[in-house]
This record gives sequence, structure tokens and C-alpha cells, in this order.
Amino acid sequence: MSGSRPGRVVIVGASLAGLLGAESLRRMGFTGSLTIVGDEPHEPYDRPPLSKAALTDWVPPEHTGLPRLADLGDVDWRLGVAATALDRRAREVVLADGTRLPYDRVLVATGVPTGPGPMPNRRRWRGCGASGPGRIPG
Amino acid sequence: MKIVVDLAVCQGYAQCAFLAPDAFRIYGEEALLYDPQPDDELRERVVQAAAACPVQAISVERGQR
Repeated sequence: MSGSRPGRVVIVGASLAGLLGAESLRRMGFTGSLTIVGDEPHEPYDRPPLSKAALTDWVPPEHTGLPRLADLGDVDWRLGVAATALDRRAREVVLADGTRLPYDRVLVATGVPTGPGPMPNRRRWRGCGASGPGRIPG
Repeated sequence: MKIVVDLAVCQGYAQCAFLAPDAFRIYGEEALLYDPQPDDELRERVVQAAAACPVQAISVERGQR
């Protein structure tokens, strides 16, 4: 891909995948408008340290913002408002506050919600991890 | 400065922990802990640590912010 590539891209999801998608677009020459939607009020942050360096009080949790590894240029950040619908006919992303964001291309990078895992032997796991990061006994 | 380590790539070689112990620590035998936002005065050491990583798991944001 080379040359100037305009257009409107809306990225739904403002975490690792959304940020890397935005960086890749810019790195590959996308010059159009870039909108990143995230339901959390935070700019993209790094999750693994939350359960390690931040949990052990080594670093404050607000110090976990992800680095910018490419110049993102102008980005319209829509943080703290969830995307609730994708209107493919109108080519618009609909936000929880009713805003409609028109797009030429949309990247859905929302990840998945966390939930209880399939742990048949749940009693065995109880209490693990309560004393800081370490290896859960197999 | 901001950094990120791809923990799926990290193999626990611990070169970073030797070169920039204020930003990278090995917990136990192989778990890496890192400060995602180390002080700017550590930049040179952190850049060295990123360069020394055998699997190139460390990314460092360029320039000052």
C-alpha cells in the first residue's frame, strides 16, 4: 500500500487492538479521518501490568498507558461512550449517546467481555493469587 | 516515556532486568514485571534493554512527550 489514502475510518474499541489498528493504518499511508470509540474513559492502556506491577504497588495504575509506536496524526477520540449499533445500510456507527459516526471503513476491535472460565474443579482454585503474583499450582 | 512488553513474546532471558533494573524485574524464576512508564532519566538504559532483548519483545515510544 502506498500513496495518500483518504477516507473515513471508525475504529470501535480503544484498547490494544484498536490502537495498533490505528497505528498500522497511519503507517501504511492512511491520511483520512480517524475516529476511535471506546466505552471506557481512558486512552489505550496496557493490561498485563495491572495484575503485576500495579497490583504489587510498584507502579501506579495510571502509569499503564500504551506507548504510541507510530504517529497517529489527527484522531477524533470518542472515549467514555460505547458504540451500540452498526448501521451497515447507512454506513454509520451508532453511539450510546445517539451520535452517528459515518464511515467508509469500520474496524471492530472491541475484544471480548471477561467471564467465568470453565473451571470444573473450582474449589481447588480458591485463594490462589491472593498473596501476589505467582504461579497457580497446577 | 512509555514502553510496552509483549509478554507473549518474552521468554524471560532477563537481559532487560540486568541493563535497566529500575524498569524491569524478574519475579520468581521467569515472570517479567515492568514499569510501563519509567522515568525519562532511565531512557538510555531502557533503550539499551530493548535493543538487548533476544526476542525483541520490548517497544519504546520514540522522542519526548
